[in-house]
Amino acid sequence: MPLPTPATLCLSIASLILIATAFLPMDASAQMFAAVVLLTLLWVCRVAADGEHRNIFRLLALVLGGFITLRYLVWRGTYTLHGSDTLSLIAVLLLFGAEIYAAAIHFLGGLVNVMPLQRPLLSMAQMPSDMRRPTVDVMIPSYNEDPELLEVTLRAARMMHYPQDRFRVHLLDDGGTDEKLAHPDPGVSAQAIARRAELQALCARLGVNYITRAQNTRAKAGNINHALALTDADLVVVLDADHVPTVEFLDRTVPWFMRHEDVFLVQTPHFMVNPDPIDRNLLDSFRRMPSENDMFYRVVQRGLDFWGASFFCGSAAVLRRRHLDEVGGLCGDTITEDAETALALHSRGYRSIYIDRPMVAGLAPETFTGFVTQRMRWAQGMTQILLIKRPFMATGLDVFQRIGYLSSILFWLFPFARVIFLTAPLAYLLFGMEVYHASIAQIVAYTLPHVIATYIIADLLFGRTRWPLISELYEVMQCMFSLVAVLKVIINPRAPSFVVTPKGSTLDSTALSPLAWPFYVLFGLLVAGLITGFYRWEAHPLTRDMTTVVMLWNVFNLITVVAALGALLERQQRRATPRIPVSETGVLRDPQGRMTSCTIEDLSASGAGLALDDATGPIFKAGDRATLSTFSPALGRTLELPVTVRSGESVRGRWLLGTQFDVSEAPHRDEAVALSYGDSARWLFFQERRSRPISFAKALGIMLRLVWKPLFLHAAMLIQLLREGLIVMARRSRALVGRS
Amino acid sequence: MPRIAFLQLFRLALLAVLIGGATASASETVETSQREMRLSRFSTTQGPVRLTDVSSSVDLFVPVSPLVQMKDSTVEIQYTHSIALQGHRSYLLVRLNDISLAQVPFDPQQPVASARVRLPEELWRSGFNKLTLAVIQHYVDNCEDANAPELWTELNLHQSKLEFSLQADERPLTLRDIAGVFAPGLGGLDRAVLVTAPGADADSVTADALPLVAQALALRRQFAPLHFDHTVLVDQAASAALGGSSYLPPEFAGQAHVLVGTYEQLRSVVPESLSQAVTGPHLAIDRTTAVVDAQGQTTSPASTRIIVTGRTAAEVKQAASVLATMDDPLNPVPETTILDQAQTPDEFAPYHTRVLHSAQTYTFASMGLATKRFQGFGGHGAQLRIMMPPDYYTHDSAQAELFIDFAYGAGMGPGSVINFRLNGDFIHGRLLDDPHGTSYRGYRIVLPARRLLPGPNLLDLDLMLRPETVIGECAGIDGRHLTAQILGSSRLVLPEFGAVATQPNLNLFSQTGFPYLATASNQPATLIAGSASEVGSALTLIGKLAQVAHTAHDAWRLQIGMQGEGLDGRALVVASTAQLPEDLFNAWAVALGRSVRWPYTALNDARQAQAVPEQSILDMLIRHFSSDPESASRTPVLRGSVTQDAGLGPLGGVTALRNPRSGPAATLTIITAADEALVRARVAGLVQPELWSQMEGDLMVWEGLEDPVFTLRVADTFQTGSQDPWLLLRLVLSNSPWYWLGAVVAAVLLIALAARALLGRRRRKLEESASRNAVDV
Repeated sequence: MPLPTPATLCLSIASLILIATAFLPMDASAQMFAAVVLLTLLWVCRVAADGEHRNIFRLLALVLGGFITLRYLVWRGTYTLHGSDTLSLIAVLLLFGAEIYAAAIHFLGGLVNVMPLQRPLLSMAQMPSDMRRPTVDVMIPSYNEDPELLEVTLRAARMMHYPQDRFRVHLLDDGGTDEKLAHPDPGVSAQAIARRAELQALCARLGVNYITRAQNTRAKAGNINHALALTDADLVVVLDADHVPTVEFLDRTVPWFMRHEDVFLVQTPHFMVNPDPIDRNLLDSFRRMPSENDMFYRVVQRGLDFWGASFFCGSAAVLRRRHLDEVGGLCGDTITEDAETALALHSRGYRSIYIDRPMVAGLAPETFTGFVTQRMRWAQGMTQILLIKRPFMATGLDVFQRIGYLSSILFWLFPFARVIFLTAPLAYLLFGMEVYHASIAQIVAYTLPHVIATYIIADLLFGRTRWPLISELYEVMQCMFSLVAVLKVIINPRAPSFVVTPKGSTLDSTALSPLAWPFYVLFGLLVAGLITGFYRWEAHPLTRDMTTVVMLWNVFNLITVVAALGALLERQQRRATPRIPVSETGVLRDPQGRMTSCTIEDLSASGAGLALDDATGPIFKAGDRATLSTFSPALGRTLELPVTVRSGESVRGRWLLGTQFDVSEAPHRDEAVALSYGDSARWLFFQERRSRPISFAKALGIMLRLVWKPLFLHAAMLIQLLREGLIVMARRSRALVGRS
Repeated sequence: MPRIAFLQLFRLALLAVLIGGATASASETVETSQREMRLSRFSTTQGPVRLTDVSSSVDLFVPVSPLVQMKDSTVEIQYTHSIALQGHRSYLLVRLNDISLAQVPFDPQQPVASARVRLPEELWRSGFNKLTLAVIQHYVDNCEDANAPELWTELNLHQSKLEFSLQADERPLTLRDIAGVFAPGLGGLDRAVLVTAPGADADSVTADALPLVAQALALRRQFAPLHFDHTVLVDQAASAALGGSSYLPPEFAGQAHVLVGTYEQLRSVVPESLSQAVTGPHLAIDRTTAVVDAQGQTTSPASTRIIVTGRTAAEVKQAASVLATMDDPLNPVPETTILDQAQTPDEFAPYHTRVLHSAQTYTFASMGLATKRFQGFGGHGAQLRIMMPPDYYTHDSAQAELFIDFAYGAGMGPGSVINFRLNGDFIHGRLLDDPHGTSYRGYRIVLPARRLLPGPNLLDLDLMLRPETVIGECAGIDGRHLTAQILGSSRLVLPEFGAVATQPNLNLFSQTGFPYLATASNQPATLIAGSASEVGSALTLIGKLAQVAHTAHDAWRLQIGMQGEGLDGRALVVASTAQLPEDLFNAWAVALGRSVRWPYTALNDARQAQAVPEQSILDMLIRHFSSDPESASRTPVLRGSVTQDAGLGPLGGVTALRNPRSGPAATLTIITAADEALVRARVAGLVQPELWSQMEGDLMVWEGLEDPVFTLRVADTFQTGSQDPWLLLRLVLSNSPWYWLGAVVAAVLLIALAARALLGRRRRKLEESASRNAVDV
């Protein structure tokens, strides 16, 4: 066994001392003073962590913040865990368990993200010219996606910059399998037959290999494994049906395989071109606020990469076939085949690479149902890995890889903690159960510093990619459904089956999500808790301090749940293909040759939103044909795309045109796809523009501003339902009178 | 510190002291002349007593020594009543020991009046006598509101008085009468002379037995101070030469005294019969006969004499120890010899049994509050004394639990409540709102254990019983049916706590005797008298400590003079400034020796800073951050001093400090004044409740009872306690969180630096790997 280095020795001894000091007893007043000093130091380190000596201050802040949390947990564990009866004791222990879980996630997050790795951007041009370019199979598994959506993905895949003879695109159709074709339901069967024919024609038109199979076994993993058996390229690219690659995708990823023969995976971020339902329905800040998955793809995966634990996310990744073959292709014991496969290959000592550059644009689920379906699958799959694969005990992983996997997996147990945090104040307010035994002085001395330290650390680690309170909102929205899903897995780890996330859905009108009722119940309970809290405050003067604190906690929960209610009002969504916000210049030319400069405001493969000068804009009217000239960085040339004007209106001194590309000719279709999806610099710019931290107070202000609207909307919707009900009743009564 | 709790005790003590005005004088002779005392002396409340409602009363308790009889007693009551009262139905009722003696009708035309009522001597009894002053008040004949504001009478107790004379009981004394001799009531002695034999042979007896005897007698006087004088036997021949005829010096002739010594030392002054009786530790009581000279003049009056003796000094000490612990009523004999004395476990100090202990459950009955029933309309109350150890200390999350067993009967109306107060602070209340009555078993009240304070705590259970409100003419309910009950089976469950205290703390000293009386074990402590003439004052002082602790400490050792090893440990010094070694004050802001050193800026009453019962969270923070001494601690530490060549003048000073001569942390308490006479005078004042209750911080300077008192903290505190190092550590860190912070910051810095080195190494490795040459796939 090698001797520890001085740094390791120092780290070990100092850690032991620090842990020991966390156990030293002190009265609340002294602890309060110490907490103020420590928080001040933490804040100074946080500010300095953005400056010149960022590494050391970042580390200081992480250790200080972690220590404050540890101190809190030690205090909670040693002095506050007692109940007046068994039921209270269970509630006390549940709450403490939830806090331990949250702290564990906090610690693991701090460790994993202590020094996120920024990999250099490689290019094939940097590779020796005499070196053999590996062959690549681009696999696009599909189940029920719209052929139009698939066409965009397939066209973009074909246009990737890589020697044409060295890669091939395959459409892996699970919607047109033999099993589907022979489905006993004639409707399903006919649909499958039509789908297979349509996709085969599409593939033939695009020069893409169409692959289907006999049976739909083992879902996506089975589909890809089937295709692996039919193909033989060195590398395999997996792209979801809605994940459109930029032209540089292979150019940036393949070199890593050429440089390191032990690399089994190069993963890139999933860049979503549309807001998720919570963002769309409530926050409405897609252009201004970091996306929900930015935290994972912009920070966590980089953090995991530092420890050699970045993992496969199911799409937008390249894998080495030789390594895949060693584990029999994609693993399928769980419904998150991606992470499971990465775990298997990491255990064999192979390495993964994560490149933080968005080169694949995808779609987030449009509806809350779709969103919840996706998250339940992830939660179930990760819990399956925890229970079946036990990454914390996996041989072949080093300790930091185990911690990395544990961090990624344990996160998905958040529903337990979140439900407890939501209901714990109710136990006190509604039933008088004392679940938190502490004086106000102790709360100020221990709890408050812990909460503040947690927020400071979260801001340090994820401030640019996740705004305060947003995590709480997303977790609240998922927790009740995910809790049931995870419990099912715990009861029977092998039970869950793969459920495809619905994407590309449309909504004709604003409607209430069918998953809203649990939130109504929760809302009612929280309001009841608030009312009894006021009564308790008035009736029990001796416990006013504690009642005040618990009521504040309850109010915080209430705000989050009201915000959640807002996100449950699914807004109207008519466009199946989302328009991507951009800001690029172009020239619009009418058939008479008149040209006017314009700004492309939004873009998709089917059309663009243009802003023209208010003086010249009105010459274009709905139905007019024109040609849009703009430079495509992906193709490296100026494109001339024929468009049809669909709408025009003057908004704040500008003339806004809605246009549709006339892409009846194949080159134009490719050009439209290349223009809209081909350039990763656009995604990067978009991502960078919205990556900015905001203060907790500002986030709270945003949240408070947002929560009023949903209340009115829900009230209006309920009134509307009531009115409709009354009208129906009136008609029925009139009909009855008429009959009589 | 528990100011409220102490106030209650202070009032009791004050009552006893005020009554002490009628105690027998030092010369012991019980005078038969007529005396009078204000009734306010028997009341613990300040100002006039206001009696309201249809029926109301106040009880005054008049203690009487069992060795005297009350004679010719009359009570004169000054009162003012409402002019709205009906003369023929409203009257003042006087009762003695529940026997009605007089009904004085009120005259609405003369609202200011007085009444004289003779109190029959046969109704007086030994111990506490209850003098009840009650009023029955009506303002209309029909449909009367029992709580009408017109129904009031004010008793002016200050102007009211009790006139009486006392007659001594001449029956032969037995050991059972010792309590009566020094009883705090009318006729009890407030002064005693302790007499030892002269010469070095008596040193051991003086050192070990005298403190025990002083404490034993003081305990019998309960809260009232008992002053001691010390003298040695006068040589009979020398006495005769001086014209005397007693073994007591002339100034103590005729005074009650205690002979303390071996039989051999006392042989010349005790009866011959004692030689046969003293076969071991021996206690006896008798009356000396008066000495009459040839001219028939009484040169030495008869006096009460207690003899504490044995064959050896150890036996004398054992006899004194038994005197301190024995139950007087069980000894109706004039003398007794102790054959054996045992205690299990023997390492326990007597104080151990007086206080409550960690993680134990106590019933109210075991703490002195047996089942109590309350009957009738109005306010009622019960009080429970919770005696926590003086070095009681626990963590701030610990909880104490009260499980109250109580019940109330049917017919309670609005306003019927039970309130619980701890040391005067309200902790819980409950409406008695079930019209059918109900009973509770184990009604749980949780309170932070820190609400209990070291020393005595008082739990008040206040009940207000009111009948139902009935609407309608003449439908009033008098409330006689109202009943409630607090059961003695109610429990107090204490958390785990340790024995740690912050020193010096004169407040803790005055309330519990800490650190000289501790609960853990009998740790020796030295009582140092600067000279022989200050021994009496020193004994008076430890008698007072025994009273506050309700037990004697048998490890006191009396040392006369400042030379000796006694000053090297825990010591209580009573000496004049000239006798105090200067080096004691070298490291201290104040010196009370031959030259005095005063922190003049500190001569503000520290009680101002300590009067805030609860600190706000902001205060808690400020006290750690601030360098301003006024806010740096609840008992502010003041620095800076002026040294001057001047004595204390008429002032007395008491101070506590960390003993500079002691290795382990030990407290040294010094009581001093300019000269020996002043030391005696100031100690006599100090033990009076008016001054005793004002001790705070670590320095108190006073003069007379009515003069302003200066109390302040001038030295840094230190922590003592060894039972639970963890709690001691908590106390140290709580007072000095900078130590903890320093360790945390240092560890954090080390971890960050080491982590940076290790992470940097890993990052460099990854970067090197990324830039490696390409390989063929």
